Amino acid sequence: MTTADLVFAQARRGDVGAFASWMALVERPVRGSLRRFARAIDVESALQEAFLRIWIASQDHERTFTGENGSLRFTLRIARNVALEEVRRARLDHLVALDDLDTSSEPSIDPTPPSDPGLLRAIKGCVLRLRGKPRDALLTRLARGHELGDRDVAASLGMAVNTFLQNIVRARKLVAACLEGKGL
Amino acid sequence: MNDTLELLIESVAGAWRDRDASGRAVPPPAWWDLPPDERLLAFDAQVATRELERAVDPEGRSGTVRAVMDRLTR
Repeated sequence: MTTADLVFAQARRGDVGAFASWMALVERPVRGSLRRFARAIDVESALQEAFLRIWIASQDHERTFTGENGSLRFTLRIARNVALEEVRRARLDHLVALDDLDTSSEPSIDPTPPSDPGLLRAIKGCVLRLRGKPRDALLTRLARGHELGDRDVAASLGMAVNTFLQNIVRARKLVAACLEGKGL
Repeated sequence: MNDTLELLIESVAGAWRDRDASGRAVPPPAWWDLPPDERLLAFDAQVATRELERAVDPEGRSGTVRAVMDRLTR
């Protein structure tokens, strides 16, 4: 069993904290698997919907998740189904390759390198080196962007939403330049 | 990339999503204004934003994980 499977087994006992840890483990490969739908759907919405469905499925104790990487393989299937529902609802099938519209095949697990702790430390260092409004905008978005829309985050900083977004773009460029300066 | 496109892409990079009547997450309005090929750039901006969130979050959680947790624990 993989680490993700062990943590998922804990989540199945109703432990939402374990479910959060499990999502953190599988988020990158699942998101990556949805890139092929990204011309037709908003992957972020689909991914959140998929995780909510997985939580519901995880609490159904008649269901079994067997085999190596069972939780990830199940999640890849659910995420693909959610993505296809969105594609069809928006009638945007023409923006997805024909092979990717086929639900009969087992989704493959593409190798996704795990988050590199050294890179994450370097990113954090570069973010914390920002100054002024770009720093305020980016740090507030990173901390609260999951619970508030940009309009509300901008208002909390006394910024117009366009100014807020311009500051985020500026901050992102400064972080990229900082990382480049570190050879990353 | 021009400034308008940059702002459009940035405005879909956050993790907060409005919900429809059934509770399903819906794309931000700006997402529909993006031409299909630029939506790939929006996807990449979402990936990059999630990495930034993981880097500064004390528990290493992205905005996606925190948004789903908010839904589950609310």
